[in-house]
Amino acid sequence: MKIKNIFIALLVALFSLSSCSDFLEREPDKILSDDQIFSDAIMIKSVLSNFYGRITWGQHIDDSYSYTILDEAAKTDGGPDNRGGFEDDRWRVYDYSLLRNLNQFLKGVRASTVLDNATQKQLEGEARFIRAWLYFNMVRGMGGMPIVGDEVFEYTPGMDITALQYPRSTEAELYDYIISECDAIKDFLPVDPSVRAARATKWAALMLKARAAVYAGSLANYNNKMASPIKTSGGEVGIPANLAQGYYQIALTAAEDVIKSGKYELQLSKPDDRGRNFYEALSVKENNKEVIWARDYKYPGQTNGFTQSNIPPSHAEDIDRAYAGPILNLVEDFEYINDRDGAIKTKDANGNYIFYDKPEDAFANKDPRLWGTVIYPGAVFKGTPVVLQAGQKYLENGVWKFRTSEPGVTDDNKILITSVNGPTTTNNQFINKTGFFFRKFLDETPSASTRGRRSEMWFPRFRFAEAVMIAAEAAYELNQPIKSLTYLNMIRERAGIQSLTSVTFNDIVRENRVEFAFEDHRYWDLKRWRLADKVWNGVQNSSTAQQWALFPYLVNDPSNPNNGKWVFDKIATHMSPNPRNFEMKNYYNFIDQGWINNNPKIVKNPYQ
Amino acid sequence: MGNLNQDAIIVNYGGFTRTNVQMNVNANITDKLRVGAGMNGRVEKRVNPGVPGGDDYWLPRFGTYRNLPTRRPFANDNPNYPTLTSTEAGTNFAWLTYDLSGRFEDTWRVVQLNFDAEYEIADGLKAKALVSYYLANQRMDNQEYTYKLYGYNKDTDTYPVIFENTNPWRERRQGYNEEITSNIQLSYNKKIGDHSIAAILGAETIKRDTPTTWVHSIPTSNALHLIDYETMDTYDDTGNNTQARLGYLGRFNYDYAGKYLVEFSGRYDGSWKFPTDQRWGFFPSASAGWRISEENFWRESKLSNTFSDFKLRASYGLLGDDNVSGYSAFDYLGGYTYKNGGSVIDGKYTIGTAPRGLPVTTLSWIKAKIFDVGVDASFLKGKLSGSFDYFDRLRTGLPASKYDILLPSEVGFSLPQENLNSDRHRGYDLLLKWSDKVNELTYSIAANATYSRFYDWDRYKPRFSNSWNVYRNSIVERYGYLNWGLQADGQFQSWEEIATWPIDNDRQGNKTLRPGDVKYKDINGDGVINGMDERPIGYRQDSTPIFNYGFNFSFLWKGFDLAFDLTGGAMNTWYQEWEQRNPFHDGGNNPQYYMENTWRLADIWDANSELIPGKYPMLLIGNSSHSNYWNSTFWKKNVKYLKLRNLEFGYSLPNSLLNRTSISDLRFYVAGQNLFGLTNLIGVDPEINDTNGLAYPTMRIVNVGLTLKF
Repeated sequence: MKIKNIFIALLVALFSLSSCSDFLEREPDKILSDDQIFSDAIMIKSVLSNFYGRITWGQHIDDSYSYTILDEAAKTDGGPDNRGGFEDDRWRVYDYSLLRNLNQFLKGVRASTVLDNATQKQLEGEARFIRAWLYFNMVRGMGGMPIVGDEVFEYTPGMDITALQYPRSTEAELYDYIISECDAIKDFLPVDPSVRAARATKWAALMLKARAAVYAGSLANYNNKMASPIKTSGGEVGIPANLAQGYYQIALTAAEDVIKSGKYELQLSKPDDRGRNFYEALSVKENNKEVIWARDYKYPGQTNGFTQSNIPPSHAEDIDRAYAGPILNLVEDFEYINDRDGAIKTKDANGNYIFYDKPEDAFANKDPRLWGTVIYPGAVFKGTPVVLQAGQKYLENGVWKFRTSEPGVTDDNKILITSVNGPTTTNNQFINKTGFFFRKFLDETPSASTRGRRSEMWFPRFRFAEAVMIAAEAAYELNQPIKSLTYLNMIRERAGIQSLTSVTFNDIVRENRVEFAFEDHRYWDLKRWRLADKVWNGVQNSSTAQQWALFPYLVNDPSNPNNGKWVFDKIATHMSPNPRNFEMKNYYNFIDQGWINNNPKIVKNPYQ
Repeated sequence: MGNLNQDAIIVNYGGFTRTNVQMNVNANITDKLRVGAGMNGRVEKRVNPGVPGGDDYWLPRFGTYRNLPTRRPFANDNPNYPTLTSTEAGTNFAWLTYDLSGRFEDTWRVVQLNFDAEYEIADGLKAKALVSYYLANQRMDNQEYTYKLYGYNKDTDTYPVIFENTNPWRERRQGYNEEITSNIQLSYNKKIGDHSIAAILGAETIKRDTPTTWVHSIPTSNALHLIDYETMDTYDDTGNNTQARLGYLGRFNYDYAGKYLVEFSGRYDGSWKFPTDQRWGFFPSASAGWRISEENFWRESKLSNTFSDFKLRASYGLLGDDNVSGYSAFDYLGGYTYKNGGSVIDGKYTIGTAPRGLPVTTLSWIKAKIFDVGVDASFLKGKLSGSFDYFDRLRTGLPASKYDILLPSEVGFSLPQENLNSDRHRGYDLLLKWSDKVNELTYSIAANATYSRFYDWDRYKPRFSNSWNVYRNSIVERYGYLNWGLQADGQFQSWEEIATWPIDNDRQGNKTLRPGDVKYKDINGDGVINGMDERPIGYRQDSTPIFNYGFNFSFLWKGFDLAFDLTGGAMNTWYQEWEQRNPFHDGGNNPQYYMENTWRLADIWDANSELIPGKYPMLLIGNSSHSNYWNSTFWKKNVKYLKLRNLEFGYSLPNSLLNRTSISDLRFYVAGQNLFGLTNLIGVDPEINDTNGLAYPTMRIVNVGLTLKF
């Protein structure tokens, strides 16, 4: 009996473990339910912060390679980049899961009971602004895409899937949607500038509206002026020409709203040093009056590596440096203060070298914005000059020869041969190969180029100068040349170069190019004006499609009267052997076959 | 109690020390109740200089390629001034010392306590309980200093700084892994005549917690080793990450006269990972054995003279695995995840909270069905014995999506995965052993081999666009991890051969070819070498070989004993890549046995001098995208090797000598591991996976020692 009792007791003990199935119930550490999020204003802001971190597309300073794709800069790290064409998904944006998250957020915010009316409207405005920005990035790459509104889709097994299949909107419809969303939310958003321009404000919404409208207007205008306009039969690609004037008017009104707001201006805090002024207007956050919306960075927390990657070797604080460098194509598009031809004069009419006492003399009287955008040979950065010297030149039997060395090596007379900064024609890492370094967005803060700290440099997306240029372009297209000229001259006067007396379209193209270098404008501008295939025409050694470098040499030839002076060679940089080749099919990204498989109502883009 | 102190592979680098303790106590409290307790613990420490990058042993090895032989480690050979030896500052291991580069120290303190009790309730019926507690505490401290590298200026006899790293790194990880397991069982054993039965019923639990914190700071000076709040910039708290599993088990054995054996067992397992209604799985198995040699008809026939023992056995079972790839614990919850993404808004970094995707309620246990059939036999009165097994494991329930339900991508989510796919492992196992005694020499020789092949098995409704797609990309019921590539067919021997070659070998009209370049086979005959010419050329690269074999020998003669093992493998592929293949990769060096065996000009300054042939194509800087370096049999090698894995030779003093002392046994021995190997690869160890050849080979160890027993 005793044995049996013990036996039963043990069996009972054994099976009492079945109640220990709550032994398997565990709580997660970081997962919050919808209620926990939307009943807490701080958590709602945390979700908004997650969204602000997911909307950086196109060229930006956290992706230095993106600057080497066009005609602004070349990769200088390692060996040659054989790129020539443009990929079918270059800078293509397609993020409907972010769209779904934004719609879920809108639903939650609208239903939340812990927010006062003003905050609720502001959060709704910011979410819809981010959503409009997302649609804008999609439409400028691909054309019309499905507009899902505020829908948060649900799937139950067995339901009719065709109800979930939204067709692509027309290109015009999607631009209209973006414009109408910006109009609807502009009064929800604050009127005062946000801290470091990181959050959306009324003026950011108006800038997005102006930019979207001028894009739509130029597409309606220039697409239809092509020999064979790019369009689909359903209008997903291709805006009718008669809509152009309407869009330009919307763009002009929105841009002028921003210009007259009184909240921002073309920053001119250093009128005596226009170059420094231009650098500070874009790359210094304190007391900044120009930038309207930017991607901000802060240490510790989130920093970017643009300075770390691209700092000149002579000024580097850690192991990285000289990943990419601006090219001569950009430098020569900057005018001289009183001369519209921007070419650097290296040889005279007979093909003989022009000698300069100092390398920076070759850039004397250039547009001061050049100083603020690019570090050229001899320019000062953080107090010391950046020495760019490819080698030494000497005359032998009437022919100029040159000698180069390992970086930083001097000859027997202690004269430098090749600078530690380069430029060289080797395949080494960490040395310049174009003759120029970035200055725009290069952070002067100490330790900004170290891996440990990195840079807090922001990346401006909208700034006051763009409102002025959009107004200039829209006024020009609306046949208001005087207004257009006034705005264009505002930009040129702040820059410190001569004003114009008449406007041509090329002036607008060129001004956009030099004002907004490295700000993710060039690619989209040339696309919407349908100039991309003409500028990047795939012709070997063309002045616009090939990437050019400027190599400075010191003349070291004691018998020569020009001993100790500087000469320059213009060469096609060996780092980009192939010219840029933009084809008709590159005007619109390809629609991924996977999306078509999932939704048969999606149509392909032309040339696909 | 033991202590091990081992130097690192790299000279003056530091090393590994470990002290361990073990204790066991067993007590019979009554004649029915026995309790026992055991403890084992260890403290182990790894030390090396503070080296940039995650793997502190990587840079010195990488330096073998990057450091150019034309540069010396110290400027002007002055040991106070390390210099730049390559474009990557860290490869100069002249400065990878404790003084100049910092210190890394990783200490683990581990203790394991076991308690078990056994109580005999009645005749044959026992109850057992086991509880075990395991705690492993880690403290890792790593500090990397700022440093300067110098050049030398001959004229002024000074050492200017040519490179400076002002980015110090100080990190600490502290945390512990704690595991509590328990197991209680009831077991019953009974023998009635020729029948014996055994049964077990039990339950077991396991709970594991791994709370860890990681801290990073930027110290203001190399002499300061403590972490201050003011200089700290990262604090990661990973949370407990509790894992909990519970299982019930039962087993029943029956055998008749040692001739017929049968076993049934089953498990009922639950895991915290899955949602409540999919948490549990039932996993039964069964096996049977038949000792034919015990049968009367066997004993009486002549077979028993040859086969002294012959047994057939087979088993089939089902096991569960909760390690479902792509599925993490709590994926069945919706909502938001904190600390995911974020941005700087309102002037400070705001931690982001990311919306989670759709809750996953369709995934559960992966099931493995294992089948095994085998034969054990021994011949010649036990002198020769062998066994042979065939096994087959089919794993079903691997996660995949039902692609045929097409949700538009614009809804922003995709359907969660379900347990749909399967894979298979099949193979053979063979063991043969001969042992005998001749006069005073006792010896045995054994050989074993295992062949285990992996197959991808079922996919959910596989679909293909054409027959080439089926051939090239199908993984339905096919060898797994097939290694595809082109087939190389020798090298071009002359310019004339290149000029008249009918196939477009480099997809550029053969414009880029030189004598010595790799010729490819145009398998499909279309005149150009491209992806359509790819065929399976090798086995899986980063895994154990498909075929493993070994030989074991042991000899005993008077007081001498000798035992050695040879092990080997085959059917594995190694890809010769990076610095083993690309000329002057990234501005660095290549191995000597490679560079000295390439096609080259007799005089490199004279383009018209004669060409000297070699095994590898001509080396040109910047040429790594050339057709020579495409994926093909020229660079992917099928590895075969045989190594002398263990060898031990010892001598025990005879009892006649020891009788007079209190020592009961004294033995001297010499032992070695990985003493010698044969392989078809040149320059690298056949057991590494790294395609640049930089993994450290298996170490050759020689031990000398003695054992004493009192």
